[in-house]
Amino acid sequence: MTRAFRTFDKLRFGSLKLRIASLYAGLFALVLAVVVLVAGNALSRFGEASATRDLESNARVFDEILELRARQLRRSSEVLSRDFGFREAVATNDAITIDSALESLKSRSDANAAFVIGVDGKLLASGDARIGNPDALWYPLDEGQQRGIIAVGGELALAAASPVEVPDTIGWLVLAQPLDKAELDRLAKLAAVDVEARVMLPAAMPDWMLSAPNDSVFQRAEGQSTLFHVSPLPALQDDLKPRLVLQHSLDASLAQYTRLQIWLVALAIAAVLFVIALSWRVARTVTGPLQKLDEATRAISEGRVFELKAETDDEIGRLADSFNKMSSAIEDRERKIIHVGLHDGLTGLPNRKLFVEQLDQAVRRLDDSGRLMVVYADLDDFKVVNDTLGHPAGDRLLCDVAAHLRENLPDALVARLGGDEFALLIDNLGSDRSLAAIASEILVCFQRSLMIDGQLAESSASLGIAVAPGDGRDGTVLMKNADLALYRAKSEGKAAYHFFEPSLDEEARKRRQMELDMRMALRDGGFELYYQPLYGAVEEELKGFEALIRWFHPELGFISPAEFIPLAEETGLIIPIGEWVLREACQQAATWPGELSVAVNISPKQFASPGLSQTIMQALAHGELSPKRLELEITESIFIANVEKTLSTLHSLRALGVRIALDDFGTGYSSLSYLRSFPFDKVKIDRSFVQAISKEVNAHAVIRAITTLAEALGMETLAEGVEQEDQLEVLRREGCRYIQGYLFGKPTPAADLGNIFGDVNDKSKRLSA
Amino acid sequence: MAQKDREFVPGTLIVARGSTVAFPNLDNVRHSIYSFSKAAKFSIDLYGRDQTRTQGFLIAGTVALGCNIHDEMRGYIRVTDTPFAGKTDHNGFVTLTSVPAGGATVGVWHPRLRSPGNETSSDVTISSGSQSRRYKLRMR
Ligand SMILES: [Cu+2]
Repeated sequence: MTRAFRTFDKLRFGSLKLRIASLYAGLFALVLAVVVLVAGNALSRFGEASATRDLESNARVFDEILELRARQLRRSSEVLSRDFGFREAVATNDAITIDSALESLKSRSDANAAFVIGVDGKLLASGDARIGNPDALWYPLDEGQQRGIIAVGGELALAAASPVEVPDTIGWLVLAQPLDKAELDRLAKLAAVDVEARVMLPAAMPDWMLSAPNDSVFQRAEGQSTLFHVSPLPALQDDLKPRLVLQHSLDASLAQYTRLQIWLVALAIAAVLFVIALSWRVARTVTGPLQKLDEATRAISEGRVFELKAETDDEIGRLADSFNKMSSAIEDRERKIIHVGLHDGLTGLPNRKLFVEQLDQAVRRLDDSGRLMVVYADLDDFKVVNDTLGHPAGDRLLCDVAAHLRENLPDALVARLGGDEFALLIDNLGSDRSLAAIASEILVCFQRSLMIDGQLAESSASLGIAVAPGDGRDGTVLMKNADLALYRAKSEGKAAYHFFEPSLDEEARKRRQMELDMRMALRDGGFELYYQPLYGAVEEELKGFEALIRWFHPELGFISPAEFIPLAEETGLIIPIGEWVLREACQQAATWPGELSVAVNISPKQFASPGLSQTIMQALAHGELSPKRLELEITESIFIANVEKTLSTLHSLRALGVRIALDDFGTGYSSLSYLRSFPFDKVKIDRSFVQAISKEVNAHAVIRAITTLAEALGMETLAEGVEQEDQLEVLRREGCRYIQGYLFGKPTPAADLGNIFGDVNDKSKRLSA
Repeated sequence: MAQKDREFVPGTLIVARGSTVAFPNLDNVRHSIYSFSKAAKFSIDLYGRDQTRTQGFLIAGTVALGCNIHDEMRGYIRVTDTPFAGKTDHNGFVTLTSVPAGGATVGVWHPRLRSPGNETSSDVTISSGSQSRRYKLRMR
């Protein structure tokens, strides 16, 4: 049974409705089929049994009818056999009289044969009856038998006999009635059921009938089922053994039950059809809502909103309810995801994607007279805030700026592009408004000061501005141009704005080209190192050289380091370039006589790179140069960022055994605290102080202050850009240890250094004399 | 042969050929007498009490007598032309005397003897002196 169900489960219906309906209808049909089968069987059995019973009682009825007939015959014969005249005729063998008497008896009694048999067994008179063998009758008659079957003219007949006594029996009057088919059929009509009766002799009977038990009903199927009842009949002729054979067609009597069975089957089929219809309906009430749910699910997956109606408060209704809840939850979440995808998580401002979309739409909407402004903003020195106050502080500053922008520029679409970059879109600018005024207003909005953990954080921004349609009719172009303008604003100094100009495009192209050229120069040995002598003012001798990079472009000729170094810094190319400089300088210095040192500039980015120490060690090892002959020149700008990290890097460099000099001292961020925080080996006094010597009165005092301080801190001092004798004089007097400048020598290619080793010493000797 | 209590008394009577037998009616009812036997065919109409009819028997043979109105009444008269005839007693014994020696035919008759004519016969040789024979009969 379980397996049957499993097989059923495996059937593919494709429709739950069909599956439920066929399951129930199938089960019902099965049960009904069993009932019909059992009932039909019982009906057949009942029909058979009752037919058997009927036939048995029929057999008894037949016996009685035959008996009755025989009695009647006998009474008829007795009347004649007792008649005195007839007896006399028989006794005197008066054949004519006897025949006439027999004839009248026959007509009176419906008999078809009447005859007299003498006591000696001879046929005395037979009328026209053809009695084959009268002797055979004699014994039963002589025995006193009064009734039985005889054969008359080859036909069986029912006979009754009465003795003719005068007073002794001289013979018997026998009266016979035929038992032919017509007569038997007539008798059969008296029976309760439809029977066919035959009187048969054993010779005419088939074997199966002969061997069948007497006086009992048996069934025989030959083509159709028939019930038989065979019973012996008394014979009045001792060579006859007649049997009464009753037969009854079982099929015929079962036919009425068959009709009943057909009705039963028809009723069952009708019931099954009814159940199919009903279970189809029931299945539909289940699958209908499922179908709707399926539809709704599909609608939602296609992004349409779909509300299911909960028509009932049963499971289906609750399912619809839950489905609606789920649907709205999905919608909510989708909105959130879209929001997250299009907005900046920190400030809640639109992100780059949304900004670009909105910009594209705004550009498309732009009419002939309209203008549109795209502003790229970058917070100045935001990295410093992050580095000094920590990232949470930086985030708070960003949020504050964002909120302030939104508040003060309600007409602008403000977006955060990432990091410290913002973008603004100001639409619907009339031709009369001053763009510069708007730019200033925006600039002011970025200027915030905020107390974070007791420390003041200040912000300002540089702005790059592109205006449509003049600077482009396409969002991407506008954004690129605003970016270029921002680049220019940044490079021109911070907290300023710059409008896009077509020349910026050209500059950008040039920068890209220069970057490519730098890479090629690095690869093909396009860079060269020049060396400028460093002169010891006290010892009056050559102390070393500062290595300066030179680039002779194959097409553009000489390019100033001031031009390409910032770009190299910006693009990161400064790292491989600096590496090359270190290796080249170390290798060169190793060829120099004596203890001449080499000074190499380390850019801020190079300084911050993690591999610096490694690079320096390799350069020293490669050139087989003593570390103490290498001097690294760094600028104060390295202190702007993380001071602690800077100090630890300085100490690790110092641990290599190299000397470290502070370059350009006195410019920019100069702070004496830097000098205190790290024991530099040398301080390089900026050339501006040297040039001031001839012009300003108190220049001497400044230089003296620096040298005094340096001396107090145990640092050497070097003056750059010394070009005149009087400058040298002052510097020497104020205690400056080293001199560098055109007075002693220009930067010179390595190949020409050989001459200098002597020259410089000569010159210093000449000066000191 | 009387008719008494609706019976012929005696039931069987042996007479010599040529004899005449009287049939007195000793009953209160009336009787008739008939016979269809070959030896004597006659019919006597009903006659009443204390009346007598007579009938002569000229042919040897067996005569079965009946009463037309009382079927159960039977009487038999055996007309013989030999002096050596007798009726047995109740035990079936009869003694014939003075039968001359030599070949003879013995016939045995009984109304219910199962044999044609209710009689069987066999040839015997009579010797002088007393003899006894035994016949076995099949009865109806
Ligand atoms: Cu009488």
